[in-house]
Amino acid sequence: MGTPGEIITFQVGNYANFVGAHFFNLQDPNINPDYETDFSHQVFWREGRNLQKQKVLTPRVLMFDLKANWGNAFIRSSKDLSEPSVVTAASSYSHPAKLNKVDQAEKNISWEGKVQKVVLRNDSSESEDDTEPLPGTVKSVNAVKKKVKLGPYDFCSWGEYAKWRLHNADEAAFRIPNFMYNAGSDELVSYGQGLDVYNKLHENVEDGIRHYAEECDHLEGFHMLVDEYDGFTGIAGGIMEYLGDEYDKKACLGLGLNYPFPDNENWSKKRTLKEYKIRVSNTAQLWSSFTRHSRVFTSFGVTDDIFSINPCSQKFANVVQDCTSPYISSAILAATLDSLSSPYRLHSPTFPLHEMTSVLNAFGHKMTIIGSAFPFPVGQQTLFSALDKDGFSSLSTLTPNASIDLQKSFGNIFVMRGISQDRVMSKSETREYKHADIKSVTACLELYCQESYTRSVHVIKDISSSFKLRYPFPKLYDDTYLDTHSTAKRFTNPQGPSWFLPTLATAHNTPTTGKVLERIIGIIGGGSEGSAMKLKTFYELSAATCNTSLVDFEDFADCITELCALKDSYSSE
Amino acid sequence: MSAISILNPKAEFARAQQALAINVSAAKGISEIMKSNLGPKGTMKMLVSGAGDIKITKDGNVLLHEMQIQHPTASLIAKASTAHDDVVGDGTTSIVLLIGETMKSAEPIISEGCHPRVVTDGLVVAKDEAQKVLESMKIPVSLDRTFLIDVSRTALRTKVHQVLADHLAAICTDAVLNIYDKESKSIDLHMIEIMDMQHRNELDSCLVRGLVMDHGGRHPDMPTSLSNCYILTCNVSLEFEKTEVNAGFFYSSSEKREALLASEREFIDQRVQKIIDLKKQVCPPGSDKNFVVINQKGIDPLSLDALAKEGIMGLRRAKRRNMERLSLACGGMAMNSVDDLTPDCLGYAANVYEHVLGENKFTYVEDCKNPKSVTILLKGPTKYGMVQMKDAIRDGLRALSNSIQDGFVVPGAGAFELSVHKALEKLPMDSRSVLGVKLFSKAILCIPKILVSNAGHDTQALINRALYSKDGEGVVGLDLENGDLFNPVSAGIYDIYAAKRQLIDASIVVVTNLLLTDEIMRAGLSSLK
Repeated sequence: MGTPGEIITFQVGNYANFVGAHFFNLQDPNINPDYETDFSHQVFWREGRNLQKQKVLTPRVLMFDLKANWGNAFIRSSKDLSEPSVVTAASSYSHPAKLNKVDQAEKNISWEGKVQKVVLRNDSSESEDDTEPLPGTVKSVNAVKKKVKLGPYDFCSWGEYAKWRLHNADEAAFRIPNFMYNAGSDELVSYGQGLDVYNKLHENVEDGIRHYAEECDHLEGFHMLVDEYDGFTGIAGGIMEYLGDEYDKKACLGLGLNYPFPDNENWSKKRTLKEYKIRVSNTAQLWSSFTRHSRVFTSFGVTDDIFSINPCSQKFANVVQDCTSPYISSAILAATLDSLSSPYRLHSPTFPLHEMTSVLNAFGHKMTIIGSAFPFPVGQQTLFSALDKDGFSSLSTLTPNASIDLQKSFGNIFVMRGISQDRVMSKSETREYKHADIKSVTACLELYCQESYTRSVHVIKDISSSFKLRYPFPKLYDDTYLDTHSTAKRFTNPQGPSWFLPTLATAHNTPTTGKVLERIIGIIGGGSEGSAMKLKTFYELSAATCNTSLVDFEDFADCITELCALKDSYSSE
Repeated sequence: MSAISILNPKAEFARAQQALAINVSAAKGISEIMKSNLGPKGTMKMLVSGAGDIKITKDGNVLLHEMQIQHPTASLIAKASTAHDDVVGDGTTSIVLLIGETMKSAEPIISEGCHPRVVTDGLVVAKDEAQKVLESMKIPVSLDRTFLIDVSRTALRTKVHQVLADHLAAICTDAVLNIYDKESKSIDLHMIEIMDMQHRNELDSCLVRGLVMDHGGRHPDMPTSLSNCYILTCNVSLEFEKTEVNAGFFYSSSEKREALLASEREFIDQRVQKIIDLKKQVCPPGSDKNFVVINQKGIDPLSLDALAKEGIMGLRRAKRRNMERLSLACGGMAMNSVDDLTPDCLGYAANVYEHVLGENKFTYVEDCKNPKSVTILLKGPTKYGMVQMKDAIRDGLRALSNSIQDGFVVPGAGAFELSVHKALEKLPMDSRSVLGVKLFSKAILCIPKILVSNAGHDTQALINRALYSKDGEGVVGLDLENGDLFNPVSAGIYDIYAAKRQLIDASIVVVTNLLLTDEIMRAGLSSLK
């Protein structure tokens, strides 16, 4: 019972890879050795050997992205080389001597035989005018920024900051070339196109899944990170169907990710009515596929309203970086996922994934809402007084269009990280509230939840290790804010200090999700009051981009009916 | 000014001569690229992906799929010539070349003012005649091994180098003969599994009369090599799976939860016990018989432990398609439950053993009694070499299955194209179709010409000898080895009947369509339905 079960992650789509790259960076076993953390790497990482017979840990992940978006990520897999080339570029500051010019030239010979210029993030010449960063001062913020460049647009592809490698990139990384779907344009726009691509590669994908699954002793389930706005939904739909067929008893957590929709040229083109309709139909089709084949799913993103033609990204208080950058916004999502998944990443998990999903999908409520307080603003107070004063007001939702209404929700999962035992209550508070038996973080939260939200079931998990904010995770807050809320700060990294932050990640089984579903059904024109005409316009636009034999109108209408049924399960309560 | 610009001022268009020029230049361009790769003496192309992967190939189908073709006409030609590759497996390059050559020769005629319809009418006459020639040349196929080896060798030699091609030809032929169903006269190529192993030399590739799987037992105490084995193939979960019911809201205390979990475990143990009971029944102590379980679902460490204690080899998460193949290879049937296990469900294999190669394990299920499913095991030191072999094998198998199913082959080595030329020259025709027929008769010679020039011989001399000298009478092919003429049938060079028919049909259809195009427009349609 106590052994952690393995989880296979899918990263389907460009933005999913952004989030995934951060997610695995956070857990990087090279800087968090097993014995140092409470977490077992076995859950998301697999152990292999490279050609030097050294043990290497690589993420158990299958990734899909367009060929153009790969950049030079994973030119070699960990099998070939123990030193990741991406890291060479990023950490050259610390070992400039290691870099060999010939080596670099070799690494970057591009297609046409031209030698590509390597852009080094940290040129050693620049380091001369760098002063030692003084914590807490504005000057040091700039100094650190100049040196490490963690600005929102420094990384335009996820491969540039992912520090991990794949073990066998041939099997796990699917670079989707444009001839596979639409030779004319470089975009994979609709569900149907994605399904078409999946049908062309399904044998390789299924083999990839099987190879990972065959190695696992206790396969626990799947994490499915999918872009929910474009054609990658179709690829995910194909995978989900296979998983539902072959691994029906495993838990599958579906995360439909939303791009932050930055206000730049690329995206302004996509804000036409036609693009919008295709986008919403993709989302609907993905959700219905999730409803059919996953245990629990959610829509996940920093976007404010995904059902508007001009979506824009949510504003987070205190975040000093631009949230419309995929690099920054994906970091927020990855941090939440990292905290939320921590209960089942423990060495001996008490709350495995399948239990979490069964709390969230009770009464057939397959769609869930994810919230996060990152960092949880305890500041210098105790947890008890922080809760007493502000409650969960710092909690913000990461599911677009949904609000967290704790009063109404049926089940809540709270994962609190990084608050130590002695920060729960001060001595004076203990004297004052003698009757309450509060000894731990769990007890404190439990008491608070039971008192404030009497109608719901609360599952509270407390993880003692904090969230570590460090390079290449973006520094989302300014130094003063970080210093106030972190529990510790260390200078172990040449790229700047690491902060240890307390965080709270939550997931809710709540009737407000019904409203989100109602909205999407209303827009597409399904349900009892819907109009077939409206439905048809949505279908036709997305069908025009692909081979119609794959998704016909009936299939599309079925998807919407499926969502209606899911919606009804909420309103019947 | 085109009429479309009145309807849509933003439209881009090309008319008449210009449209023809666009189409011709695309056809010429794509055939120019493929030209050097035709035939057994053709050269290779190296394709480098953005990520640095290398593919070296001269297989037309692979080339057309891997190259990013932007030009709409060129991509139409590429699609038309690769469309039938799935079935035919050969002849892609020839189609592209013939289209290119025909378009090239049609251009001056149409530029001089001849209506394209006149040319295309002639092409149709030429097509009918070419098909008559094809019918007259076909040779019936016998299921004789040496004959079939000749057929597959001809296809394979155009993809890989000669020594390897000869080696693979024998493997392909044996594989196809093994799975050929004499009663229904059908061949299911899916029943040939192709496995690759990065190991040793290309010439170590072999045919395994049974199955090779890419995984092994996951328990240190499990036997790694067994002989005289009963094989149980099943799709039963032997894994402790925590279902939804025993979680979350549904238990009130931790004791209840533990009890539920224990009963679940019990359930799995019973299943394992049933398998062990069957083993004891068919392999009584002291007998030399052994037992292997191959499961499509998972087997967890505790179950593996129980199986290992009994000396049973257990494989988990087998490929779904392998389950079907296993029962065809070893006999027996795939079980979906362990409740009604009888000895009849079991298959048999003389040898089952594991082979470890670095991190990867391979399990051989070998020497089955009458395998209806076999494995071609490809070995090679390099990755790109293996990809090359895989593509070649695929085409070799298609060639064989097509020729068996057509029941006919035609003499290879350019014999068919030369005969078509001769027949068209002699064809009596009316004044209207003469342009098209002459044009096609000249164009089809491009294939033998390129074959010869790729082999480095004097093109004009050899082709003229084949056409106009005494040596060239009857069915004659080009001996690319010596730069001479010979009878392809006696040299054992055969082409696929379906591929040649496809060559004539597809190229004339595409050329007709392209020549009759009088206007190309792009008027803001994001996609055509």
